[in-house]
Order: sequence, then C-alpha cells, then structure tokens
Amino acid sequence: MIQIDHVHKQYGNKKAVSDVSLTVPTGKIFGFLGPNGAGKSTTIKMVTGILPVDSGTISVNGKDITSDTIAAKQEFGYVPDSPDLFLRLKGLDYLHFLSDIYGIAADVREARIEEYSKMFSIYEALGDQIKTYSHGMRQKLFITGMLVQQPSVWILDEPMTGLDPKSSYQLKELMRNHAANGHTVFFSSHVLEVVEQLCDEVAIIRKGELLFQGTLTEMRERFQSDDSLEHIFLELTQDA
Amino acid sequence: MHKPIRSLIRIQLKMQYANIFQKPSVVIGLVFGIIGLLFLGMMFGGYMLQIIDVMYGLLEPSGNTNVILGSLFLMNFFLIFILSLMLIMNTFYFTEDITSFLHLPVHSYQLLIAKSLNPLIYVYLLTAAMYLPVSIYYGILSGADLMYYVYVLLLFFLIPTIPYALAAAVVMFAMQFVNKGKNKDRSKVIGGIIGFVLIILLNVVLRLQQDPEQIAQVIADSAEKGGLLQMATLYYPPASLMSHILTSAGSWQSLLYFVIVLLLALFAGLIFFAAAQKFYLKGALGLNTGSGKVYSGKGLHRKPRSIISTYRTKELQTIFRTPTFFLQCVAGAFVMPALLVVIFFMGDFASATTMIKEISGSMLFVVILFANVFSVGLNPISIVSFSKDGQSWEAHLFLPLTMRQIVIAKLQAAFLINLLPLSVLFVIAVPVIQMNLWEALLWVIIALFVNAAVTVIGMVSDLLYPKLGWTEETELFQNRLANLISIVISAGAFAFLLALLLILKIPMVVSFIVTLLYISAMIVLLFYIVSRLLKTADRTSLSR
Ligand SMILES: Nc1ncnc2c1ncn2[C@@H]1O[C@H](COP(=O)(O)OP(=O)(O)OP(=O)(O)O)[C@@H](O)[C@H]1O
Ligand SMILES: [Mg+2]
Repeated sequence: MIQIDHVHKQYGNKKAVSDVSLTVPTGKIFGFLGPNGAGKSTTIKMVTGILPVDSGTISVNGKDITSDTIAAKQEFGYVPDSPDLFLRLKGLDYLHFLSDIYGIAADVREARIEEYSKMFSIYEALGDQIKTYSHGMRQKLFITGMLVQQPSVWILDEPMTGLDPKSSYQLKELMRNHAANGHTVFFSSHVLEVVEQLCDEVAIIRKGELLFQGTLTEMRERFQSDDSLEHIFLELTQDA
Repeated sequence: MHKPIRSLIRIQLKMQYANIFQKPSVVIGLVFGIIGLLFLGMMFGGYMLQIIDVMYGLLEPSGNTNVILGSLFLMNFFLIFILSLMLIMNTFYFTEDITSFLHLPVHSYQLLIAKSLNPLIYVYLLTAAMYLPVSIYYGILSGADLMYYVYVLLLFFLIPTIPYALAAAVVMFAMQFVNKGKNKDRSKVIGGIIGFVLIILLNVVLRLQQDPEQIAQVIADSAEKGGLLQMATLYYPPASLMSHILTSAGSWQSLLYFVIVLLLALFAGLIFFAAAQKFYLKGALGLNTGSGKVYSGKGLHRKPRSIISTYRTKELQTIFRTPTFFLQCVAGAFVMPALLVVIFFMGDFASATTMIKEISGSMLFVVILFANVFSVGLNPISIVSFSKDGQSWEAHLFLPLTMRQIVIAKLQAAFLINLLPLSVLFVIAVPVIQMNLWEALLWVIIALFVNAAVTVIGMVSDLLYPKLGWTEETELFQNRLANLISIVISAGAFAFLLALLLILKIPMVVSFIVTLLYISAMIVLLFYIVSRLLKTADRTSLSR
C-alpha cells in the first residue's frame, strides 16, 4: 500500500505537483494517468525517494519515505522510465548487485534470474554490458531485476513503452498475478488501452493537480458517460 | 578542404567550453586555482632552475653545456610522446561522441585534426611549463643574443608536433588490431596494458644500456666538444639538431638545421595524415559495440555479498570496464611513478642510490613522504568518486542504501586502486634506495596513510564541484575544477607537513609519529567535511 498525503513539489518557480493525495491499495492494479508533463514521473520520483517532497508525507507499506527511508525503500521495486543506468555493468552483474542489496539468497536468485531473464528473452545477453542493450532490452533487464527482488510493492514508470507485444503481454500477466496475490502495483501510463484492460483503479493528474481517483466504473458513473475511456480522458485533461 | 576542419573545431568548442565560465563559482575557483598553481610552479621551477645552475657550472669548463638543452629536448620528447598516447587513445577512440562524427562526409584526417584540439592544448601547456623556463634561463646563463630567443620561440611551436604525430600514428596502427579482437573490451584493456608495459620496458632497456661506469668514462673522455650531447640524444636525433640550432643561433648552420627540423616536423605530419587515412577507420568503426556472444550461464550462482562489498565490486567493475577510467586510473598508475623516477633522477639509478644514501634520517623520511604523495596525488580516481556515476546516481536514491555505505564503499574502491601507483613506486624504490627492512616497513605504513588522506581529499573535491551531467567519461578528466582543487588541497596540506619536518629536523621516529598524527587528524577533519557536504548537497545533482 502506498499513501500519499497533501504532497507538493516545485521546480524553481514552476509547480509540478500541488496538493496531491492518493491511496494505492493492496490487491489492486493502480494506474496513474495524465498527459505529457502532468507530473506523473515527478510524483513517482517522490514516492521512490529520488526527489524530496516540498511538503506533505508519503509512506510505503506504512513506512515513511522521508523519516524511515531505508525501511521504506526495502518495500518496493522500481522500474524507471529511462532505463539508462549502470551502463558499464554486464546484465548479470547488475542482477547480482541488486540481489546483494536486497539480500536475496544464492539459490533463490539463481532460479529467479534464469526464469525471468528467459521469460523476457534477455538471458542470452546477460554476459554483455548494459551499454550494448537496446532500449527495450534495458527496460526488460530492470523489470527482471524487480522480479528477482520480488518486493511487495511494484512501482513502474511507463513500463509498456518500448516493449514488444509479447513482453508487454507477459508483464501484464505478471502484474495481474502480483495484485491477485494481495500485493500493490502502481504504474503510470498514457496508453489508454493498457489502462482499460489492466487497471482496477485509476488516478488522473493534470498540470500537477489530481482530478480523479477511483475505479473505472466509478469514473464512468461520475462523468455519466458510456463513452470510451479515451473520450473521458480527452475531456478530463483538456485545457479548461 | 579547411572548411570542414574549422566547423568541426567550432562545434567541439561549443560542446565543451561554452558554458563553463558562466557560473561564478567556476570563475572564483579558477582564479584561486591558478594562483595556487603559479605558487607551486614557482617553487618547483625555482628548484629546477637551481639544478640547471649547478649543471651549467659543472659542464662549462668542458664546453659541454649544450647537454642541458639536449636532455631537455629528449625529456620533452618522451613526456609528450607518453602523454599523447593516453590523450589520443581517449579522444580518437574511446569517447562516445566520436560515433556522432563518423557518419559525416569528412576525411579521417580532417576529423582527427579537429579532434586534436583538446590533446594539443595539454601538450602545448606541458611544453610551455617544461621547455620555456629552462631554455630561457639557459639563454640568460650563456648570455645569448636575440636570435637565440627567436629560435626558442619558433622551436616551441615545432617541438610537440613530432612526438604527437608519432604517438598518434602508433595508436592508430595498434588500434586496428584491437578492434579485430573478439572480445573488444578485453582487448582494449590488454592493448592499454601492453602499451604501458612497453613504455616502461623501453625505459628500463635504455637505462640498462647505460652502465654507470661507462657514462663516467664518456664524461671523462669527452674532451671532444659535443660528445656527451651525442650520447644523450642518441635515441632522438632531432634533440641534437635542436640544441645545435640554439647554441649556434644566428649562424647559417643553425638556419640549415632549423629547416631540417621543420622538414622532420612536416614528415611527422605526413605520417599522421597517412595513418589517419589508412588505419583510423579500421580501428574506430564498431569499436564500441558489444561482443555478441551468447551468454553461457556462467556465474549465475554466486554467494551473496554484503552491501558494502557488492557496491565496492560494482565500483571496481565500472572502473575496469570503462576504457577511459581504466586508462586514466589504472594504466596511468604505472606511468606516473615511473615518470617521477625519471624526472627526479634522470633515470640514473646509480647516482640516485648514492644521492639517497647521503640523505639520512629526517631527510630520507621527507623524500619518502613526498614521493608517495606525488604518485598517489596524481591518480584521478577519487576525484571522480561520485561524478563517475553520472545518470546512474539516481539509482542510489531509490535503492535502500545509506550515504554512509556508499561513501565507505567508494572510498574503499578508490583506496584499492590507489594502491597500484603506490606499489609500483615501492617496487621501483626498493632497488634504488636499497631500503632495509625497517625503512621498507616505514615506507609501507606512510604510503597507506597518505593513500587514505589523498583518497578522501579527492572525494571532498568531487563533492565540491560534482559533475553528474556528462555525456562521455573524458569530460570528467578535462577542464574540471575538482582536479585543481584536489591538487591544491593535497599540495597545501602536505607541503605544510613537509616544511614542518624540514625545518624542525627532528629524528626519524619523531617525524614518523608526527606525520601519522597529522594525517589522522586530517582524515577525521575530511570525513567531517564529506558528511557536511553530503548533507547540504542537492540529492539529485549533488550540487549546492
Ligand atoms: N528536473 C526538472 N527540472 C525542472 N522541471 C522539471 C524537471 N522534471 C520535470 N519538470 C517539469 O515538471 C512537470 C512534470 O513533469 P513530469 O516528468 O512529472 O511529467 P510526466 O507526467 O511524467 O510526463 P510524461 O508523460 O511526458 O512522462 C513538467 O512540466 C516538467 O517540465
Ligand atoms: Mg514521465
């Protein structure tokens, strides 16, 4: 579970997130929607402790990211939107590095690395430096890293962009399973079909302000429309 | 023909130097840095000129004073050749931005002349620092006339071209084979090591040929004018030509020699041109691509490690696998101590040994301390402690790592890498100084303490002027204030200690204890500064 309370964030004079409050419950897939530059990545970076909050509080599974940082960070796994990290490490080195940090036992990690890297067909490239991976391969490596870690809370920033259909399908299945097992999945996207297929609940953000949080049906009721999600989304995020 | 070169140079200037002077902190730091360097330069320069004074006095009776110029040109050649090898490998091959030029419709030589801008700045700076003061001072000592100084200036522009062009040709020739290798990263690393081992071996072979007794004999026999000069410049004929130009400046002979040197430089330029056109693309195209090997499942099972140890491994892996870091921090470690020995003892082991033997007690201690500070202080590894993470720094903020763990692991990694230059220095020093067991032990302890202090100083400098937003690794080693700051802090801190020890002339044991206490206090203070800097820094960019 992720709890976001009255969070503000400003870059210089520019408000990126203002007074956002959100609850991402367990057992559900939670989609975070909004047009480009709405503040999705900024919010996610605050949740993951990359950016400090200006004011407000954020906790992951009850652990405050500001005051109880390390404990909170143990709770989640994060797949960044631009996976250009640790480029000089080999894929395998990165996975071992991550496993060591999260304290994954030797045989457990061995089995998981093999299973998931094969699932995402990057196993054959594990001996190469991440630098030589394509964009999609890098993303799949970071997803594999999260799966090796198996945290209870998954945080993914636009995980589907750059994935081929097969990998994208597999990731969606894994997300469904994870939520079905009573865990938390929080991801951002502006691809509406994905959200429509996958999400149990959504939040919509525009210009740093939260417009809506609830289930898809609630959203349809609220906006009294049988329209496609696309239509609602376009209307909601229009410049008013 | 020249248009492409000019526009290539312009775009590079824009990319590398455009914004650097806009920050006030950079300008202030630069001013202080330059003052500090001038001060150091005056101290060191004064020392060099003193040596020249003595040498001139010794050589004047036999009419052999031109040997000073000869060895100056010779040393300059070697230093520039070695420096160029490193710079050229980096700028021509290992920088990423080279790939963004490769598709342009320009000739290799045009691209490479434009790319030579940065290395040539360094090469000319080194030449200015080494050659100008000595040659001018020599002119004053020998009461030379105006023509002498005209030639000094003309030669200044010519001197670096020959070693630079030759070094470029050697690198371009070698790199085509590196590029053919299956595992390119490994062959890059091996190529680098072989290159540096060759340089050192060459040095050793040259030294071994010069039996000290033989040298003494030559000096005794050299009633014949210029005999010693021939000896000194045997390995680099232009050195002899150049010193003739200067010593007989104004004569027709000297003009003729100058024309010959000019032709030699042109010839070197031609070699550069030919190598660029023939070898460059073969070495550069596809150099930075992966091995393409299918992973075999090796290393899948690994014992879990503690956080600090896994982080340290990650640091070391990054350093060894990034060609730029490898060249600068690991391979460079072998060159610096060797150069130190060459510079200070002119490669003459025998006289170095006798010289050291005459020094004793506290003075020997000072020599040990200085040599260690110098060799480890020049290794840039800790100055990139944080900056080398670049974009990946963000990952440190979402992974459950404490700053303490990160700092300790980074310091350990830098400390380990810094052991390289220290060990090389030690290995060279053992036969030169002929240390006894007690002195060797003393040396090792001091080296470890100095290493710790210099490593933390480097980290402080990196935190003062961090640079995470680089696009290629070489940016971390060029035009960075952190470099300067670190040198100034190290020089200042240790110069104070050295001066103290020199003035007090206390017994060795007391010096030893004073030094250890001083360095320990320094380390504690530095750790405090590191923790302050980290607290006040903006977490995502590390800047303030
Ligand atoms: N480092 C930064 N410095 C200054 N402003 C920033 C920075 N990062 C983001 N912003 C601004 O904050 C706002 C929100 O950006 P954010 O990256 O959170 O958007 P997003 O919802 O993730 O968009 P996208 O769908 O394009 O990924 C934007 O207006 C952006 O210009
Ligand atoms: Mg985003």
